[in-house]
Amino acid sequence: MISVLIVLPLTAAFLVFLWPRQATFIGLSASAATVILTAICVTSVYLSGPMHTLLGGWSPPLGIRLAIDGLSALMLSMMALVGGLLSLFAPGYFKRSHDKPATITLFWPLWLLLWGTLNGLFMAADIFTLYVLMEISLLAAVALVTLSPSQVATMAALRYLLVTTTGSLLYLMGVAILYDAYGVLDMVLLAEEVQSGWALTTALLLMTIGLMTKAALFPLHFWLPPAHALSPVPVSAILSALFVKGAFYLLLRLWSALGEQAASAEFSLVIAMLAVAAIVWGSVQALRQRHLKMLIAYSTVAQVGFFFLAFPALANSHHTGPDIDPGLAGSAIQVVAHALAKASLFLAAGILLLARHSDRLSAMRGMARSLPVTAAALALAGLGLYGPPGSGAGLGKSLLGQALHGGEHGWWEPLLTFAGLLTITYVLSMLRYIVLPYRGSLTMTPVSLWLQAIPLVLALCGLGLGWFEPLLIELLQVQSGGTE
Amino acid sequence: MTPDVLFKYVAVLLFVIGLYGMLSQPHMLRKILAGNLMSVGVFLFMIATAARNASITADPVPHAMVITGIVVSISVTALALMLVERIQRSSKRIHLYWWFRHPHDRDDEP
Repeated sequence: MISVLIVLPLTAAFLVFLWPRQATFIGLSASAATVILTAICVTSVYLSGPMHTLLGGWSPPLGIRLAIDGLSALMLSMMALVGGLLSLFAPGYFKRSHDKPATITLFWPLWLLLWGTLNGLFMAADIFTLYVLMEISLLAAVALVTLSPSQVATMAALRYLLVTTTGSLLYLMGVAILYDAYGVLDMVLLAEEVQSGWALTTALLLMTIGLMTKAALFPLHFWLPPAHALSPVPVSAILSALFVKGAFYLLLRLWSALGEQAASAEFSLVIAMLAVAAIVWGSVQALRQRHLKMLIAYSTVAQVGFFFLAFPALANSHHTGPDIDPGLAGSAIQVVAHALAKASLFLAAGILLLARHSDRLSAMRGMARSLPVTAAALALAGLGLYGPPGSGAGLGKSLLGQALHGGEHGWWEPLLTFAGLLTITYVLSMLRYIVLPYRGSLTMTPVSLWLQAIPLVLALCGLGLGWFEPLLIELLQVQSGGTE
Repeated sequence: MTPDVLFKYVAVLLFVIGLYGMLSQPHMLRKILAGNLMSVGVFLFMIATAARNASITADPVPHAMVITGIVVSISVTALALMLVERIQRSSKRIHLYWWFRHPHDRDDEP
């Protein structure tokens, strides 16, 4: 049953190639079906515990196991919610933008391929299948960046491909070393087998560096802003909101399965330093940008720093018992809140591009009057990025703070406040253009309200996530048992 | 030293050479070749792990992984070459630098 979440988008992607004229119809139906299926799976996980399936009936260590537990279910719902709304936005956007008409027929198969493989990434339970899914999704993502015909975008795509492939190969070397030492690939089996030693340390180090490259943690973030900012808007939203999360999720999974044997205080300290550096550097760079899409892309660099605070939080908490670790829960909720806010910001930037044919910050002048719905979406999404108490990101941050609190790292709290201040600074410096008056005559192409509503809905979902705190915690507590 | 251990040393050496090339060579084709060298290193390492239980027959799982890995590697190489070709069609550029300045990012505001 759960393998349909992978197979359905992939089949639809193939069908779009066969009937390019029906691209939007096939794409939208497949998106709707995937959203419904995800909803069924997530409800079932919530009500009756984790689900799993063995592909072809082969059991591990030889076969491939797919499993959905609470964390996977949350990530799948993120894919469905953001992906579904993006699918509604994309056809309207490509029709109105001055891209070539062929773009939409190329967009659908690649996006469905990415959706299917990311769904697989959130379900796969063995480290080699994860590598394969990561690479296929990477190929789809790079091809999506090249939908933008400019030469700069192609350069960004090639850089993106080469950097992240290097990251993948570092990860694969780690897989090879782990297989050499323990002879299993399934994460649950591996967690039982591993012992601390040079093999585990080397492998985890390689895999962590590899995945940090893919998740764009400072100082390995340099490929992200051009690739994310130069691609067509729906693609930027997909990459920034969803694709970056795959590598981070994998790292989180890896460390919660194998980390206990190898985690050291020094390691979590190094990650914490990099995370703080990412927050500072990303925010400062975001402040310096003159283009809305570049600003949003640098804000992703900063937000990735926030996600990585989960690692010191996990190391800090001496958490036992059946409840979910607050560090893990906080980080997962923050990932979802960021996906919603970031997708909203990029789509709002897309509407600005449609209306004004420019994404310069100065083109945002007078937006409050001319595009009130989009201006509201930008403001609410910016707020969602900062995370006031009660919103999704706010809930994630308070859980993270709870996990970081109480350890020997008393200096965390002022640091988190400082990071929040940096976020609000670049958000406000972006938002001030909305209310600044426009000088001269304002020429703009009208954009339908229907398209403008989608970023607003995304931003509201991100803010409203905080309301569902008990539901989210309960879902995250569904943990998978053995491999049977 | 048994052959599989030798293979592992060679594999690590290839991997490191590839990584060095990827980081140090600005030429686009060299970067792609360096990436291929890295994957060859990983594959050789995996093949060597098939000799884990020297008493019995070779372990089939690493072979399956290598075959899958080769398919992935070919696809990545094909896509990368296509991108290089597209870049060269519009310019004579042959170098790719990791750090770059966004060309739209100059002070071009009115």
